Amino acid sequence: MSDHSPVGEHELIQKARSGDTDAFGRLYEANAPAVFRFLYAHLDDRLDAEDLTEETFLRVWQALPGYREQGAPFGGFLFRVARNVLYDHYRKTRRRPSITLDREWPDDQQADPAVSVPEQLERREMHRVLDALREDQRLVLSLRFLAGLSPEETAQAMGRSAGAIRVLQHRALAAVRKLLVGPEEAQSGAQKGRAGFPGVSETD
Amino acid sequence: MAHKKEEQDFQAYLKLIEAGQPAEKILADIPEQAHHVRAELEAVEWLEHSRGLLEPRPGFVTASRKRLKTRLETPEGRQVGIWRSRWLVRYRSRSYGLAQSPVILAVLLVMLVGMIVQSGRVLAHSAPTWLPGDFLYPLKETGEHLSLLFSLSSEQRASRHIEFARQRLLEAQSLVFEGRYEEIAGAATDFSEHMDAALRTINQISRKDLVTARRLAGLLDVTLSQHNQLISTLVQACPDTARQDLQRVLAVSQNGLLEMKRIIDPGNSNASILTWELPLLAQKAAVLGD
Repeated sequence: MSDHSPVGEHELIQKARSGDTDAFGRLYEANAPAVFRFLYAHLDDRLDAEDLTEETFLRVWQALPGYREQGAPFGGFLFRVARNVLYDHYRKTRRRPSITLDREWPDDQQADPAVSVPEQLERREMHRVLDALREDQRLVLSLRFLAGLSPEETAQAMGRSAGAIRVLQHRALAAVRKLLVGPEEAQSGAQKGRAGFPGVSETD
Repeated sequence: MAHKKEEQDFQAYLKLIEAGQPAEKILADIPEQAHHVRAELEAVEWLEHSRGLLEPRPGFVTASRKRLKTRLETPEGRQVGIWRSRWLVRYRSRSYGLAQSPVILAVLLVMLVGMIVQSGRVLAHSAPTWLPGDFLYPLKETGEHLSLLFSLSSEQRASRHIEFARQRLLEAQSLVFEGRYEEIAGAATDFSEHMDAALRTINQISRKDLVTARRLAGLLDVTLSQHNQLISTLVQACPDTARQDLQRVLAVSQNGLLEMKRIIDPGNSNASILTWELPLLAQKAAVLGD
């Protein structure tokens, strides 16, 4: 997941546990983009995702004394905290991660001049599909493919076995495909031309 | 085994997609399996594309790192102890909603205390056949202690001491019937303690509420009277080792009856024994019995 080798990451963690904020800053730089992607996949607002990313790492810093590597990857620990931060946010905003196909999009997303309209539309479509999934399916896909965790790290973050994660992943991917192409085509197994597959262009 | 091979192949295809290879090309290379994995690989390809839509703004990571460093150097950034940190990671927000509300936590706590009290009462009152020396007898004792601990008033506490004194009398009788004389000493001691506590509590109540004190004294009077006759008979049937203990029970019981008479009928000058003298009187009775 991060750019650091396991040995380098281990050293940074040890230093951070001793109170070295610079070492923790380097861990932050390596892992913050993945955490942000995970959180943004679940939230409407980019600013909320940014705030929660910082909150996640603050809690990780606070909880580092209790972290024991012992073969358990740092990514699993990090994203378990991120998941908890997300759930705390849901509770504060009284929001449930349910299907909200008619979500109203905040104005700031449309007003951002750096984001093109096609990109905004693609992001909306992405959120539409993800929102329509069950919560555990959305979680496993956002951890595995949007944050880039391994199956073992995902298992640790979700508190399940690696085997259970693989099964859940298969079902979640099938559900995504069905949402993208429609249940009839998904059932008939019809091959879809790439031009008709939302979000994927011919040049990809 | 075949399933494991399929899973390994699938993981390999995922790595190819993550490396940027199009799903169609991968599918073209595996015509036998294409039909089975097409849907999932196309979904993975879509997710990989979506990943690009979720990247943070340029400069966000650097700017937020500085902000975070500032926060870490404040009291907010204090690293906590091991146990609190494990709670932060493992148990906090495990399922958002119900368990975090202070009101609901308070309700759960009250329910838990109620369950403990009720369990204590059930243990105390539904295990009459358990005798001293039985494997489960400590549970019965625990139930009685819990029941006393959660007594809501002096009256309730006195009632419970009277009930538990009655239990000890029943146990002493059962022990004699079963020939388990060695256990009678413990029952006798417990009986004395419960009697002492009941009398002390009733005396305290009598200073403020004579009506309640008299009612409790009457209850104790009935309890002791019902058993004293039987115990007097049993004393004759016991070996010497147990006779002393039973006589102690009788002495305590009889003195308790006198004390209750004083509370019920204060004008009667014959009943003048103070409660803290009961243990001494019990010892004298034991000596006289020899």
